Amino acid sequence: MKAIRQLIRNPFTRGAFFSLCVIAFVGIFSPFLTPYGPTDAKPADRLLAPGHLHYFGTDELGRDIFSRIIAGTRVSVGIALIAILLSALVGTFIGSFSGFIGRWIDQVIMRSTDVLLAFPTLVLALALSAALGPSIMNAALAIAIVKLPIYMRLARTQALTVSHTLFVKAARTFGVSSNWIVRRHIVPNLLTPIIVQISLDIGDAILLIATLGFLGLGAQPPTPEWGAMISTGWNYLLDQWWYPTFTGAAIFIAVIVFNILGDGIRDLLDPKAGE
Amino acid sequence: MLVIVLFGVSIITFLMAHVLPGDPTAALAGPHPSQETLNSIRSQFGLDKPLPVQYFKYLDNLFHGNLGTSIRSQQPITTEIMAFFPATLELVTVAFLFAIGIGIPLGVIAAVKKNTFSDYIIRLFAVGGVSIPLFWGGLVMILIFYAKLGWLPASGRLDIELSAPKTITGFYFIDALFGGDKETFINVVKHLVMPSLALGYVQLAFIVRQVRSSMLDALSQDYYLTGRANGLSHKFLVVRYALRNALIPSITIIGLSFGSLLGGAVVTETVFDWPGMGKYVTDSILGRDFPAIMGFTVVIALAYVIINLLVDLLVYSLDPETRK
Repeated sequence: MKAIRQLIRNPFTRGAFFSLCVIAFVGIFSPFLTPYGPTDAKPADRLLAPGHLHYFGTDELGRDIFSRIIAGTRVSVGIALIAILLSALVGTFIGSFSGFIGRWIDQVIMRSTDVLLAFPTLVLALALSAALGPSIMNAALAIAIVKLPIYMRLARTQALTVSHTLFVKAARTFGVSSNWIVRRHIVPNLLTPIIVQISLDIGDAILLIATLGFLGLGAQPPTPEWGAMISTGWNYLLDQWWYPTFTGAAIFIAVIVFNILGDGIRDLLDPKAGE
Repeated sequence: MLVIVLFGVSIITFLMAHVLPGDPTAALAGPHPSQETLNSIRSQFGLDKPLPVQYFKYLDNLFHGNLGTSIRSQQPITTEIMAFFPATLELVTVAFLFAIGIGIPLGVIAAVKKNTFSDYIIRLFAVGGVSIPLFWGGLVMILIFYAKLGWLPASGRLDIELSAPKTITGFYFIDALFGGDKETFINVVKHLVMPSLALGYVQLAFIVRQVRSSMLDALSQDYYLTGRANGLSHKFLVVRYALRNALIPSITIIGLSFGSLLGGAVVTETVFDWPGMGKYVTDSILGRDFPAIMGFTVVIALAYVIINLLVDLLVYSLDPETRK
């Protein structure tokens, strides 16, 4: 609660925080907020301009674009969240294990993160989702894998640092079990940097999901996913500009909200990295 | 170190191509293939052999610069990628120059004028850059500068009625400049503006953030205070001392940004119909041309590793700290 109060003190993060609440509300209650069914085609109404019946117009099958963007919030933001949380969970586990055990296991794990980091993020995500086959769940998996090395390294560094601190050494001399040390000392110390990293990564993950969707590797029709919608809307760019434009604006707003909040959270929890 | 990474890269691309569920033979065999067709395709590509044997065959091919054959065109992938490479390199280089040319000064200004109006505007501009979907940025630019104002062309490297300049470097704008044909040169530059701005904006944002934070760091150091106490001007200290120290940690990020541009080019080239490797790979995705996608991935990873190595060497030569 104290953290939230501090976040809304700054006008930037205050705006982002309230926007996030709106996005979360829209994502959770999207089925009740859409004026039309997001996949209900009505060919007679195809490619209508924005108006009071269809706020953002209709697409090539006569589906209401506003409803599809609302429904897409749950898909795009939800999948991004799942991907990052999965990555953070697995990465933290492997990383802290690696840092705590050390020896050759640590070497092998760290070299494998080097290899994963040898690819530009987008290219690796693209190749992985192409290899797994185009679907939104595979895209999420690809993003989780791409983000994995960051969490592994972060957790490892923290685990290494913490396991050499005096209080852990003292705990050891008292005969405390490794299990207890990991749970009571290493994990709590890991939590802050991991949360900061998660908050910084969510925006990026939304962008990656949308990009994969745009390239035809993410969500498949008729799923109302933002990137895939723009990919189709592209064909109507010059005559029906509203179709891809509003959808893209939705992505932009969601990502910028998460990024501003992510920066805010980092400055708050990790004062050293902030300025 | 480099060898280990490259070795690992080859294992990953191999695994992606051969072990993951998406079966490359299925794409070749067409819909509803008989088991016999599948088997014959599998043996034709050596897919029926044990995995280690397949891997060594793959590695051997890689060493000889052989990335396999494209399913769509039946041409060697290496030749195809080499043909598309100069266009991508041209786009990425111009975008990179734009990103550092604008990004570094903006980062310095934001740091020097910390917590003022200009700092807030620059930071907002930067956070916009990391948040904008590349394809949407391109889309908005096309709508404004092509559809609405008609100032800039929306696709390709050159108007169709103009012929490509004689190849010297493969960079059209340099070749056209040396060729001395003014009309072609202007046309080439006009084609470059939108894609390179759209692509460069994202990295510009990263550079602004990095330069700002390392500049702030430099300005809080003791030497700055000592300099001020000895009567040196703020401006002199910023230019002569802080900037130099702030740029060293920034070089790593700036170098990485060149690599990320290679990734971003995939999207930008698709949006602006730019005939480079990125366009090649999206066409390959649509055509389910699996070997071509993997060939592209290997080439990009290799380029990325080499760039990072060069950046490390540069930092090493500039920064006495790393040599200790």
